[in-house]
Amino acid sequence: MSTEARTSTSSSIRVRLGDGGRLAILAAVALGLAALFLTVGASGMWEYALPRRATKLAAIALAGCAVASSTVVFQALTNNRILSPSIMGLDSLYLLVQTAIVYAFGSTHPLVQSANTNFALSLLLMLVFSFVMYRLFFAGERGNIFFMLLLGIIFGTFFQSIASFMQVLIDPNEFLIVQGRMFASFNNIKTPLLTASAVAMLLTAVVFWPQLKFLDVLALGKEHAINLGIDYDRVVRRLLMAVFMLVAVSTALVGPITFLGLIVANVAYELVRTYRRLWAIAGACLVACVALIGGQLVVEHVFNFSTNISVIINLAGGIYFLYLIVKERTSW
Amino acid sequence: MVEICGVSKYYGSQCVLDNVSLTILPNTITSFIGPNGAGKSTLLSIMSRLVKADTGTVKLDGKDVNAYSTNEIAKRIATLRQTNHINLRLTVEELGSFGRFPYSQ
Repeated sequence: MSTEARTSTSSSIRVRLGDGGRLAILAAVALGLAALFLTVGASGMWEYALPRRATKLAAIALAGCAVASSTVVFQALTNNRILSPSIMGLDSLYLLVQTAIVYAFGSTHPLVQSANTNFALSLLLMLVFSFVMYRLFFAGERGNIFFMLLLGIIFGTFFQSIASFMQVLIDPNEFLIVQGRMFASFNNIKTPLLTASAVAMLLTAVVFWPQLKFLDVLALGKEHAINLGIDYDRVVRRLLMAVFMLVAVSTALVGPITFLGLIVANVAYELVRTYRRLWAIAGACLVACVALIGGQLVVEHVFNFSTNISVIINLAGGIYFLYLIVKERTSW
Repeated sequence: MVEICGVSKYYGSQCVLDNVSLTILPNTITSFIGPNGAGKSTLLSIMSRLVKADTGTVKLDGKDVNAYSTNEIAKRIATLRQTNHINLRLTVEELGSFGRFPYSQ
């Protein structure tokens, strides 16, 4: 125990000096990948390639940052680094909505085909669901975040079961449309939606910024946070609202993407070794951008769109996650 | 000075604290002694606002603890729990400096 303590102190001093440097390197990698993404294989058709790629890049950056920051905040609230906001069932709800409208109206209906209407409908329903969850568990005295998570798991499974029931019943051609919505995709993002999402996320960031200084203390746990003078219930409520908002907007924009959060948050904790959550948020955003841009490059130029980015990231992320579990187990 | 007036706490129908009243004087060391399940921790948790009492009040220097701002009371009361498992990579210095949070936030 004593040798372990000694090594961890000395290494943390060495490492903390390097945190800024690591973030800078990460930012440089992200920028380099972004430049590569914009230019590779454009072969002179700049007027065509650049605007389309820039839109894609912006969507990647937005969704990546939203997922990364919401996961880091969520993990600080729940004191758990293997949870992600997907446990609250928002992406299952998104899938259910997509399946249900194809089931009810067919794939040619404007609700399916028009990106704007579809975005508005999904976002609205996810926000309503968030609000209901939020009211259910924080209206009374017994606001308990784990109770809400449990509810989220139950609702999520429920939504998923109904969705797969409907998927079995619909025409196979229609199912292909639904299947296209089951994975996050950055192709074909409409600029107005991108702008709307960017504004929504920016507003969320500005409104909830004052709460972020409490994150480090919240990560100590409920008792310590109260002991240190935090109005625990109020701060947790606010931050949860921010998490709901970010997840809902990013999911409505690009599809189910919360799986990414778990990976990028944990990579960020490994890279940025300080306990300060703001640094972890910055790191996680950059890792998310690197993973998504890199994944998208691989999808476009190695696999020629024959696979999608979720598959690539889930493969890499799944392996990393297994490694993490094995490592956590041996460290006890 | 801490005054506890008629504090009761129920978990479901189980009565844990039944109308407890006592006064804790300044400049003294007070300890609660009792068998497992006697309600020592519950009373301490209520005193430090970790748990809400069903009835009764806890007063610090004549003012209800729930009437203080949370930041103000954090400067007056410090609690240390039996188990302190912290899932963060912290140096002792960083952990210690969290104690300044009520002043520095």
